[in-house]
Amino acid sequence: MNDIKQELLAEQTFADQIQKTFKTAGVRVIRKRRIEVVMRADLIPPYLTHAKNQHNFEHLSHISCVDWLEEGHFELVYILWSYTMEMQLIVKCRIPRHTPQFTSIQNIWEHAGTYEREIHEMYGITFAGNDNLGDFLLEDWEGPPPMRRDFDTVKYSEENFKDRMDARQDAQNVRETITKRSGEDMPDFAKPYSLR
Amino acid sequence: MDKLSVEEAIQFAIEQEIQAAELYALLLDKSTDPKAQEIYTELRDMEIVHKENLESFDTSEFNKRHAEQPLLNLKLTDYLVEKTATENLSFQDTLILAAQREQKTYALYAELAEKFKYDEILYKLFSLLAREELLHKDQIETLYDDTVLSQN
Amino acid sequence: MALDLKGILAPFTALKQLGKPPHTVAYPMVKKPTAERYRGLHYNELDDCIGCGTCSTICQNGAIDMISLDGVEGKTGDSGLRPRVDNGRCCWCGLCVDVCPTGSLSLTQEYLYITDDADSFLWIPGVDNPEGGKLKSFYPESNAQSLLDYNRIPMPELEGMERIKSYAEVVLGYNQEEAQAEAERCISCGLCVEACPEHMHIPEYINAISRGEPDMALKIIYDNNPLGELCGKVCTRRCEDVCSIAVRGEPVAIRWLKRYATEQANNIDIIREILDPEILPPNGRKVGIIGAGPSGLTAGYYLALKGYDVTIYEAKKHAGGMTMYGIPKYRLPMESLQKQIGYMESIGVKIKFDTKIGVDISFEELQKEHGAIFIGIGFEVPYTLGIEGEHFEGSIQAVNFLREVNAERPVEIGQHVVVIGGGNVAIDGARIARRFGSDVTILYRRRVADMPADWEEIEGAEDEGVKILTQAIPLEILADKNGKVESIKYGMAEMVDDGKGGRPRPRLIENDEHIMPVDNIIGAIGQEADYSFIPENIREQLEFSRGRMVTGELKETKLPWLFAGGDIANNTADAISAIADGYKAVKGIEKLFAQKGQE
Repeated sequence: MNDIKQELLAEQTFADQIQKTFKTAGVRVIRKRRIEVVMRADLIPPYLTHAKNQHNFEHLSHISCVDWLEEGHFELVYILWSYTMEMQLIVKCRIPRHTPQFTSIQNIWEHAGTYEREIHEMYGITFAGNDNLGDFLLEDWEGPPPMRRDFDTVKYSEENFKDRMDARQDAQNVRETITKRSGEDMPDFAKPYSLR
Repeated sequence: MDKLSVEEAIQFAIEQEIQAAELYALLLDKSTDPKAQEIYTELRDMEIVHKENLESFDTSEFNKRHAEQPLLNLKLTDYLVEKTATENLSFQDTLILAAQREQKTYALYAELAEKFKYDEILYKLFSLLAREELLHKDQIETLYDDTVLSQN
Repeated sequence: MALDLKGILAPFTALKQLGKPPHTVAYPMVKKPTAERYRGLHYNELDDCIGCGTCSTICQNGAIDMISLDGVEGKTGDSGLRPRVDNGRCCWCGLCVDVCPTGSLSLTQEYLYITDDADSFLWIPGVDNPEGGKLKSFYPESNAQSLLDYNRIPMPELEGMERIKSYAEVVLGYNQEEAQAEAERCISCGLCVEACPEHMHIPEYINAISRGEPDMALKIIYDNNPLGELCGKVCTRRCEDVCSIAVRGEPVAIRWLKRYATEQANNIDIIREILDPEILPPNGRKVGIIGAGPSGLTAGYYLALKGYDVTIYEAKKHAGGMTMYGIPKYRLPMESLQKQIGYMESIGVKIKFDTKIGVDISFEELQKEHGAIFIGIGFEVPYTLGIEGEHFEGSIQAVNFLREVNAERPVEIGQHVVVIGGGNVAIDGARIARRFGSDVTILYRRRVADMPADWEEIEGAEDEGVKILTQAIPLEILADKNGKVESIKYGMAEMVDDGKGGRPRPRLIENDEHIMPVDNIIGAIGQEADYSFIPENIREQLEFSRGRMVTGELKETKLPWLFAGGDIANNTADAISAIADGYKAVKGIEKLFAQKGQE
């Protein structure tokens, strides 16, 4: 136990320091060279500026997004790297799913704009201050943002790529195959229970 | 029966088969149990086929016919109570009776093979017949193992 | 003017690099290794795949079809279908691999796939890359990585030494929470349905349970099995043998789930209320059924629903046949059986108890009175051991022993008991004898793995202190001077291959004989039917094979009005096969009357 504490001493000290300054944040040492900070959304731009300028997290590695459909949130994940400390900082915040808007951090890291553009395309989140949120990877996309979990990929394919199903008409249903082969008499009222 | 020609030996074996077929036919006639009847019918027909085979037996084919089927010899007849051929045997007793009859016929041929050891052809012939009987016993014992002893 | 030496020489500095190894990779001669657990093109081990279709069901992109392949034949436990991936849709998420119950499906290191034909995006893993098995990269290394739950919810039961104090039911049953959790393990592939002789709608009733609808589960069960609770307790459950989950884990407890659903309806009124059966008005067609075992009851129940006038003739005091008189009450309590049979009577099935055909009523009379007759008399007559000394006092038959105990008649049994056999009857006999406080040893000619008895029964017997002596052949029963059993002589067996691919057969080893002192010997090697009640002129027109009546697809015999089912007409001799026979015979009997109607 002591060894582990010793090994993560630098991380823990740093984590405590963040916690002291940002009382509402949830700070956690994930492992050696990796710390997670969960922040209120409105504190994200000032905190990132603080991390860059005061704690030497010079580099923004990536911005990612998680769709917490059941909970009604999008989670934005900012991954930072400090060359000075050789440490990764994962900064997370949640925004309501029904108003998918957030603030751009292009003014802190210019290249953040590209990540924001990708998240806009995939999750439909807009970033105030980023004027370049047009088409990114998807060509002529008119459907809902495809990385949202309520996007029905099968339905979309069926509606838009019907002709691509022609070669797949030989597909068979396993349950029906078994029914037919074994001579099972399947009553209609049981059929809706065939799949989970 | 100190001296025997090959023809006489075969004739002797044919008579054995006829006797067996007649016995099974008689038991079939007397039986009222459909399960035993099925077995008697099969046994009777089997003995008739053997008789036919013997009638067209060619001693020059000895070596060919010896293409061996390995013997299983479950030895069931060794410890099952001896049955006598009486009317209305059960399915189980029918099988025991048949296996024991094959065992006895085997013993008879084995004894004859020993007795005519000096005559190569007779020795071979009786050894072959003895082996055939053991194969039949195997078949019946296997059937017994599958039916009567299915749960043991 | 100074010479710009640097400017002149600079281009030649490149020469320094000559002869040094390059930093680039000489593709395609050399390939850069992919990341660990890289998710490239699919590969499927075609022989391990059982065509359950779970990969196809889980695919969020609808990219996987199940198709027939040349050279892949379906059989029980294998749909015969195999997955085909539409690489135009696949997003390589790997869910199909995570959910594959057999572990046959994987993703490989291969990622290059070039075609100008959109249809050829269709990729049959294992067929299109037969060598893909060597390039597996994303595959389940252990069951823990799977999305499936390979461990069964344990069934609560009485502790071993507690059980032998009474006939209380050993298995206690799932509660709703446990049943739902167990039901959720099912992947609804339906392979089990083919293994079930009656082809019950297994995924459907399990899904009804997992959705919290036990009433619907009961309806689905009763659709083709009116003895679902009986099966929920004592079925031989061949369904579980082929459960997809069982390839790498414990099969879904199909039997226990059926038990849960059926037990929810704990009296006849509740069953009727839930099922609300449609009973067709009487059609005036009379059917006589001989024997109120599972096959006769099943035929009677569905015929009665269809408006037939059904009478079951039962020689004994209670219905249920072997399930009543053969199966111990700690496995199938009397009340449970009475409830199920009582419900059948409530919808119009008539049962005449204590009525033996050929004694109380003649076969001819029966024939005169009914348009069709179904025989389901079961295997009641035990085979004897056939060895010396079997007639001595104290040598008994398990079926008789169990019948007396179940009929609650007084039975005496000694301290040291040997049971001979390895089927459920033998195990039942042994476990009942334990409840008399006896020391019980089972002698079995083959190995434990060859025992036809249910493995849970074997384990149950061992838990209760029954000893099992395998590869032991009984040779002779020895008695004291009063003719009372004193000991048994047995010999050891070696297992020999019969050369036909069947299970190995025991052969007696000479001069390896042992003697065990014993007070009672209980034989349980097998049973047969007694057909003597069928008049000879009718018997002669029927066909028999290996002790059984030969019947067709709809259990019809050579005589158009005569049907047979259960142990006397199938090779599996269990309750569910008997139920299946009864169900088939209903169709046969309907067909017979339909033809009669046309004449």
